[in-house]
Amino acid sequence: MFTIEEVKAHCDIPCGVYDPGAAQYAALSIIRFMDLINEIPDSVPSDKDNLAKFTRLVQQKEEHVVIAKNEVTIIWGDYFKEPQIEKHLGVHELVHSIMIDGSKCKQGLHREDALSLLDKINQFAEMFWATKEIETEKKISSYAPNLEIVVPVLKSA
Amino acid sequence: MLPNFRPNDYVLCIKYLPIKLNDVVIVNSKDHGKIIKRVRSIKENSINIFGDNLSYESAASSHSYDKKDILGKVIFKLPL
Repeated sequence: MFTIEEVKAHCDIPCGVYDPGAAQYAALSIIRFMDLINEIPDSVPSDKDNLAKFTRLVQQKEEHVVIAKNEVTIIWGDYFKEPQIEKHLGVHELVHSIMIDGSKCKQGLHREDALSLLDKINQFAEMFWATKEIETEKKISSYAPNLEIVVPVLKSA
Repeated sequence: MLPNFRPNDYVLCIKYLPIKLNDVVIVNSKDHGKIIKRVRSIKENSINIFGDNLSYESAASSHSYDKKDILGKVIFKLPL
């Protein structure tokens, strides 16, 4: 005689939804916040309005660094598994480097740190889409700071 | 494994058949138990698998399985 055993197809729901776009948006925001902060006259904090604006911009810069780091680590930790890592052996080093750049952006107001963060997140996005065999292209963001981002070439509906 | 396999379908699985790309196999996963998936790639001692339902990715599909973990190849389906 034979026995009938149960097997499962096992799907995680809805783990197929990952997109580095949120991290890129956050990185662009960080650059924009730095630009706006650096436009405030050095006389701050003597002016209360500017002080309030300055405080808000710094707070938002901090929050968007956290968003960028979280978005990258979630994709890296939850999506990248052995098959993806085998094809992109540099992903661990790249993600660690993104974490360091993020911290630099929290510590200071140096635009070059935020540009480096965006560049590395773009590299991460390119890597991510490559694992899905989706072609990418470089586009200029349609809003300030109008910098280059790597985006997937999407099919028409 | 939708749309090719639905919940409560019966399948016949044979152990001693050669495994080829795109075969449907049952694998004994230490994390997920006995799972049914399709063969994505075959190496010397391991295979990678994936699900037919491309809307969802499974953690079970994200790592390699030793060939000795393959319980057999699915050759027949009885839909319910």
